[in-house]
Amino acid sequence: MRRERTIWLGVAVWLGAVGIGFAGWHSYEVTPGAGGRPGNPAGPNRGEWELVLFVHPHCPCSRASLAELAEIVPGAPTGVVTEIAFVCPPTVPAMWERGQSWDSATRMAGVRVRVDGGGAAARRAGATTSGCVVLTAPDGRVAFRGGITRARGRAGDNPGRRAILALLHGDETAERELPVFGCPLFAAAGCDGTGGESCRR
Amino acid sequence: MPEVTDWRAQTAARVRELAAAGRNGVYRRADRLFAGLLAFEWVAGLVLAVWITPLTWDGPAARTHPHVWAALVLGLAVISLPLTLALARPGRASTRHAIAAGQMLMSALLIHLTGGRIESHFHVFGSLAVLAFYRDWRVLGTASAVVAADHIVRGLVWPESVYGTATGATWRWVEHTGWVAFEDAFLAYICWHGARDITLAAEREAALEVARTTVERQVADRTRELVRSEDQFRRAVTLAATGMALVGPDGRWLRVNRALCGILGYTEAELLGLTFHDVTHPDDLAAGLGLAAQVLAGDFPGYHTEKRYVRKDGHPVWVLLSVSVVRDEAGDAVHFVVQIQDITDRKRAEAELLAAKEAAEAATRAKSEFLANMSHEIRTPMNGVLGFTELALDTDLTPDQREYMGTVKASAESLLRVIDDVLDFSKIEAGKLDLDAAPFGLRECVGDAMKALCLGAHAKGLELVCHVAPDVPDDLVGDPHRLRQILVNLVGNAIKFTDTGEVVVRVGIDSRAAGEIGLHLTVTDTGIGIPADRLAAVFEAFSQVDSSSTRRFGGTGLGLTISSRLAALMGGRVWAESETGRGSTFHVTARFAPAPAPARSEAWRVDLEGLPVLVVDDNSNNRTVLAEVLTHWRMRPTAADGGAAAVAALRRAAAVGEPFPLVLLDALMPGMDGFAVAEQIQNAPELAGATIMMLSSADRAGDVARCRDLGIAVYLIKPIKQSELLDAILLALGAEALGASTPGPDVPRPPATGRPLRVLLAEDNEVNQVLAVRILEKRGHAVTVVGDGGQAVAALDARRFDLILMDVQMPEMDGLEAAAAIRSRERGTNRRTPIVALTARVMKGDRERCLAAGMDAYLSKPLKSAELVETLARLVPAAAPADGVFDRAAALARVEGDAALLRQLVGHFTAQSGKLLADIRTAAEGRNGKKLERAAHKLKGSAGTFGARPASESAARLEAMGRAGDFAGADGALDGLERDVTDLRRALAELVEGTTG
Repeated sequence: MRRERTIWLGVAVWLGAVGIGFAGWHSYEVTPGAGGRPGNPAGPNRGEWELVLFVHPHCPCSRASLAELAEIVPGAPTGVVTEIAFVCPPTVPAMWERGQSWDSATRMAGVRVRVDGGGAAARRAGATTSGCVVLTAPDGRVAFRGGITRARGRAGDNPGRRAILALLHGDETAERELPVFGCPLFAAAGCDGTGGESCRR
Repeated sequence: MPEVTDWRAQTAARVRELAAAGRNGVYRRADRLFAGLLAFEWVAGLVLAVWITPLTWDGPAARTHPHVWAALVLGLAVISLPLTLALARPGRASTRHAIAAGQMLMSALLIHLTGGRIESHFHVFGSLAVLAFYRDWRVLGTASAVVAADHIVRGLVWPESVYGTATGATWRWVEHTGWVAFEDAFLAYICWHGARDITLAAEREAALEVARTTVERQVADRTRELVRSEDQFRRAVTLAATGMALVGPDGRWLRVNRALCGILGYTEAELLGLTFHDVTHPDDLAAGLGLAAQVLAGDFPGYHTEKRYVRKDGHPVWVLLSVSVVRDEAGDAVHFVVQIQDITDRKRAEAELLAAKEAAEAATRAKSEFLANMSHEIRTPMNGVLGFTELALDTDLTPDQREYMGTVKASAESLLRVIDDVLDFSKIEAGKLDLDAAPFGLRECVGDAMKALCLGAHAKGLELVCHVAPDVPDDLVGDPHRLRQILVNLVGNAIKFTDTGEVVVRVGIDSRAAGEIGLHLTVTDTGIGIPADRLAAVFEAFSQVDSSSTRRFGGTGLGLTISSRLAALMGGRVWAESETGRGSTFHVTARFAPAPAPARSEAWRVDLEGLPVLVVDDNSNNRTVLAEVLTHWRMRPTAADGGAAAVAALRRAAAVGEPFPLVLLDALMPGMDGFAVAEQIQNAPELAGATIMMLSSADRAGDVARCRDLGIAVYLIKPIKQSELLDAILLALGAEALGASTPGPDVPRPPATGRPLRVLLAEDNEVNQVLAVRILEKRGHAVTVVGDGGQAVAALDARRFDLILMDVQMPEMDGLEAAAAIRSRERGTNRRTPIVALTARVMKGDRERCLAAGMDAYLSKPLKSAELVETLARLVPAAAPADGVFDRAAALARVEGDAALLRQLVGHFTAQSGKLLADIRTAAEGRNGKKLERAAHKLKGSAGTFGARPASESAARLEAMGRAGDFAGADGALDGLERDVTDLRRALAELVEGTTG
């Protein structure tokens, strides 16, 4: 009996440990990356909506963001310029941006893919975490900035996708800023553009 | 029943035990399976994490992705407990439940790693299916509970991690859990089946165990029995009183027992080193090897033989071997099984017995030879004594001389009977007495026996009565001589031991069966009787009632013994009933075969049917017997017990007009005897006309003459054979036919003495020579005498003979050789001279030897003239024809050669013919046709009895005249008849004289 009790006690401890593990894992998954800065409060008037997704070429979490962008593009009204910018640090070798995410992006129709060498555009848009989407209104103001997944690497219905589509369809009440779940686009030292700050918090 | 209940309870417990063991085995195997599976899943999760999200990036810098760490650490945490329990405590309930929980947590980990992809949920269903390996639905419950809890918790906290989407997070867990429950239902059913299969397997295993246990117990029991049986067999063989051994096909002793060792004098070890060749006597080895080879070849399965072994000490020992061979399934000989019995003592006893038997046989041969020689040596002088006594009695002697010679003859005959008895007894004792099987007439046989004894009975004044029941068949097959011998013995004894009264012989049927008739003969006397305590002893050899009897009555005491043995040989027995002072009755039973009756004329019955007869006899037995016989012949007898009663009966009959035509009158009666009755009849005219036949028990001198004077038609001496009585009645009544006594084929022909014969006598004994010559010459035959067989052959070469009398035992060439030589010389010729053997040897086989040598007849010495004459007549048919007056052969045939009867018939004819001639003359002169016819008819019948054709024809002519009433020529016919009758009387007188020799 004592041995049995010991076993059941061990089972309880084991279940607790496993639960704690799952809880910790859950905690990691739902913790967003570093939020972007507002960047330019108002840019030049372009006359059309511009939707830019900044991704780290090798961030596994951003594959979910690419998938969500693919869901948004067909739902967006015509005239929206959609672009995927692969942010590459200045020190990386050529073609560093190529990979699974690059391939997925280039197969996406109606989307322009470009390399944001050194992350200048990202910096300008205030994107610091891979998966960050910046929607710029035709008048040059940033209508939305944030992530389009509910957690790291989790595709599926999410508030970012709904907010962007709402904004594009003229709903001004939609969320304007949401957390981004992904890898930092810049090294911790240069997270803010000056280096040294990590995207994660 | 308690045992059955107990057995069932034990089986059920065993089933539970086996089922538990089976389930435990399944649990352990599943535990091991899941230990590996969990480890594999951990590694696979790690690989998946490394593959999908190996790194996480921080700008250009990369580091291990937290998913990889989660897969490594959390996965390890998930499998740690189940793996530990599976390895440390396999088979336990807690282990499989922990494994179930761990497996489901691994599903949660995988789903989490794949970001809640719905496809990853298949891992849940797969895991549940694999968990069904435990065949324990409760494990499925644990797993399903973990799944449900996971879905509920994560659905609430972070639905995307489990469903991939937040949509429906509050109710999706119900759907997922429902699918799991759906699968659980089937898996639980499968688990139930699996558990049942385990139970069924356990039941089968338990049944098998029970069967195995039973079989093992039976095998053990049988094995014990076999061991016990083999032990018994081994001990039986070892301790058997008889020698037993197993011998290989090569002859080597394979196994021997103590008894065999004892027989052969070897130890067991010594014998097992030898072969049976080594101990077999050299003289018997070849035969033994031959038998063994035949058995090995399969000619026969085994054999018994007697042979000799040689003991170790060199002495031979006789053994009886019983050998059989044992073969294997292929039919090859494995070994011999041999039983050896020491029969040395038996062999020794057999040798002694054989020697004793040979000695006994030699003694028996010597005894037989002695008996034969004694017979010869005694009979030879007896031949002379009796023969010459008979010759002397035929001469003129003074009364004293005749009395002396009669005494000599009686003594000699008595001595001869003693010798015959001794020889018969000897032959019976030696088992050398064979019975003939010849057809014979029973009544003739019995009558002959009575005839032989009547003189003795009459001399003592005894009535000798013989009664053969009518239903007893007359024609039988058997040995009449021995039957007659029995009767002569018994009746002779009865006469001997009876002073007054009667001796009655009765013959009746004892039994009838197919092909067999049992006769019951009784001889009753009124003699002294036999004490009850001596009744059995009288049948013992050399025994009489007491020693004084022997002195008083004489005799060897063998008669009854011989009779008893003869009856036994005839399939019957002899016994006696007696009362001292009142007489005895001896009973004899014997079996005979029926013989076909010879054809007989029944014409006489017509003459006798319904004929009234007066039977007059003071002896009731005689009256009864006569009345019965006459009734059997369809006559009407009336009995009278004395002379006065007879006269009264005659008068009564005459008064009513039905006189008795025939009177059978006993001569000797108290008061008025037969002659007085006859005299009254003669003197009373009203009684005249009856034919009187006088029957007398005493042949007294002058009786015949008195009968003639009194006109009595027939005078007969009692006892009277039935055939004799019938013939006499028919003759007296003048019947035409006398067919009743027509002789059968085997009845000897009467002697034909019509012409002298040339007889060659071969006899070395001078006394016998003289005796035979005298007998033959007295009958007119010419005799040539020779002294041995060689001379006989030479004599026959020199001249022809009508007959040869050949003594068997003669010097030089004996009778048998001489007969063979004569027959050899006759071969190729038409001549065959009859040869009659004469021998004093009366031993078994003598007759056969004589006949085999070519002889025709056999006479034993001492020679009896009647036998010799009869034999001559039989072998040499009368050459001379009938003399014209009468047919001699026919006349003799009528009386079957009985000279006494012939004399009686001739005497009767002589007396009757005179009276009939007178009657015929009176009738012819008085022209009384009816009387003439009747008298002539009677005379015709009487003459016809003798085959006298002239007299018969003359009488027939007169009979016809009388019937027709035509008397013309009657005188001439009467003269012719008187001449013929006179010639016939003279010829018959000559015949009678010729047969009285």
